[in-house]
Amino acid sequence: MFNLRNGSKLANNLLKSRQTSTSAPQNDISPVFTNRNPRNLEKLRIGYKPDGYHVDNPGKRYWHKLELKSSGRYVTATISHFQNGEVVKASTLEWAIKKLLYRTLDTSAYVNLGRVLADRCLQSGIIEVDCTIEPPIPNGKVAQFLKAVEDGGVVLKEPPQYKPSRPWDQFRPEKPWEVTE
Amino acid sequence: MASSLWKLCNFTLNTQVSSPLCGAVRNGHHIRGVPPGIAKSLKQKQEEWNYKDPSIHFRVDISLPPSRLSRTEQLEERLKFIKAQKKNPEVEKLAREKKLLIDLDEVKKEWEKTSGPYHIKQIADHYGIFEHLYGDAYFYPRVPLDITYDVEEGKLPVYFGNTVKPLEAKSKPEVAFESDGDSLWTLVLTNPDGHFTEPNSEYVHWFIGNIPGNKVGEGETIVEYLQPFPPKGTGYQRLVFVLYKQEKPLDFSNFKRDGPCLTLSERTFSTYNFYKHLQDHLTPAGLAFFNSIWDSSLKEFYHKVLNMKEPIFEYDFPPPFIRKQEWFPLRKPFNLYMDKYRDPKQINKEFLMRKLKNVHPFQPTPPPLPYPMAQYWDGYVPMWLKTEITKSRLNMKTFQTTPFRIRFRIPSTREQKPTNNSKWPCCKVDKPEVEFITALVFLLPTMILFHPILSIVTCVLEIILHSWVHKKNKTLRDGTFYYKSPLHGIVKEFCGRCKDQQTKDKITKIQDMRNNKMQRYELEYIKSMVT
Repeated sequence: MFNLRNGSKLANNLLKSRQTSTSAPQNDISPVFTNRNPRNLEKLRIGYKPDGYHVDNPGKRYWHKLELKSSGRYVTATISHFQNGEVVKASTLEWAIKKLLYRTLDTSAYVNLGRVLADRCLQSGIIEVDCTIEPPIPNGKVAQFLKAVEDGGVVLKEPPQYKPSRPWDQFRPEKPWEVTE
Repeated sequence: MASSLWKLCNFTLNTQVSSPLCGAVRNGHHIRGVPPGIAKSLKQKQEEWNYKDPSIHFRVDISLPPSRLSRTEQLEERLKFIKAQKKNPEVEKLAREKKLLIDLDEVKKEWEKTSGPYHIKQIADHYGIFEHLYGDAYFYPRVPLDITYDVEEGKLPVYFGNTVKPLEAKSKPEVAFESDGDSLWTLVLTNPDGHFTEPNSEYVHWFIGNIPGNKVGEGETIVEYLQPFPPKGTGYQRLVFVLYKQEKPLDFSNFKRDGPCLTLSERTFSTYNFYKHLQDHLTPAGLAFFNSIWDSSLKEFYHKVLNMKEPIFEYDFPPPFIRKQEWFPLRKPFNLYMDKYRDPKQINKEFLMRKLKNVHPFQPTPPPLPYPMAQYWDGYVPMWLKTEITKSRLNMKTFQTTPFRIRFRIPSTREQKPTNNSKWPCCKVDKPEVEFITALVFLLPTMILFHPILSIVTCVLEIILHSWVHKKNKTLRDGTFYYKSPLHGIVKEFCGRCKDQQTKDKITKIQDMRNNKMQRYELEYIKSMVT
């Protein structure tokens, strides 16, 4: 998966140093490194993201997506992954949230649900999610929910997938993992 | 379908006589396969492909048993609470004014007791924790773990996948969990992603066994704490804290490592084997994990603590697909087409050489032309060359890897067998039998020229010398200097290897001629560009 830069050179040097000094700890490195973290490539923005078809409705191109469902009594917000489905969930049905609310479907319920969801997203390392929810009424329940999620620190837009530039490409975008603060 | 029916109807008519009578037949627009409404959609097909037999692919729950609470009691209690909440005028007022903001810490505390374990399991599954640590087993973390790292700005907690940089995780964290006084616990911190040699192993970063109650400091340290050290370029690594509940004091001498344990191979660990070994006395109870990515503080850590060179990795993208080279590529711009089949390293080298041609070590670089496109085209310039020169004048980036210097390479059957030595490629004629036959052929002319015995002796000597020369030349590195046998001029006519070499030389000569031609073209235009 990940190849060592100047792999053979470094391996040789390691071998040499082993022959000369015996007191130093000896750490082997194989030239190919495998990172098993299934979320790694997505976080580095190079993981596969379904492209959909050009005539598809928007909302099919995402790694994580924000969804909001309201039933007659409760409202549920989920973050779903394109392969794994639902991964983070918050609902006014939960006793932990319901306990502190006055009603489970009013504006303050939506706002607080947004806050709780944003908190859980940050705790589980999901900072950017795709969102195709369009609030039916400006400044209504849904709009305030989205605002609460954004205020909680979750960005409601996902970066595009980085695709490697081919040798004949004119423009070479910067590699996202080489940018460090 | 319709068009094929139409064709069938008009089968007997003579189209040559009265073509308008037969009507137009549209070719090439048929629905192939089952029509859309009936055929399976992609989603259905994917479900079919990804189907796993539940009798084989099932997972085992290894968690602590849930606390037994009477559902009716719980409901009564909750109902009472809600009724009180509804009657609370303050909450009602805040809610109606849309100003009710609930306390998130309180929510979290209650969540940990109720739906927390299920949610944590869900997100841990998303991060592939159970799959990589326990294979087909999973657990609900029923004991909430409270882990915090001390950083300059305050405290940095570890939840379920948040990012903690190596600098922030330099020293061991504070671990707290609820426990009664006499129970025993084990805490393990492992990294399933960071092993340098075995991709399916883990490194254990911290291991404390026999923790009495919740006093982590009083536990037996099996492996000392080591900070995360994700190498540069490999991205995010998971570091997983697992808390196990022990049923009795356990002997961890198999896993014991003395001292700081900076030899990484000694930290190789497998949670699966560890748990398999002690599953009768251990039950996983708590889970917390974070992601860690390289930061600049690690350079010093690698050099001073681990005493090794800092490894830097790069993601290995799959190479772009380039189809097999054709003899006659139709409707393809030949210069771009040829460039695709060249070694990119060579292209870059050539670009650098051309760039350095204009650079003088002791003179300043000439200023760029004020109007690079206002240049006179002298004589006939082919269109493709014009575009390439225009690109180079405008300093367009494509120029960096696809310059307009083209080497024509002939796709040949020979290329299928790559040769090790490019100067003296070993030819296919390599069998001693073939050489023996050529030797007999060589004998006849020598018989005419010399005395029979002398000719046989010279023939044998020459052949031995010739084959030795071939062997010697194969190992040569310098192409300008090579060995020849005394009667090389005559023997080469009969030797298969030499013949093969000759044809190869001819091809390279043609290639060089074309190459030189292109270079001349290009040199002239570079000259005209600069002057």
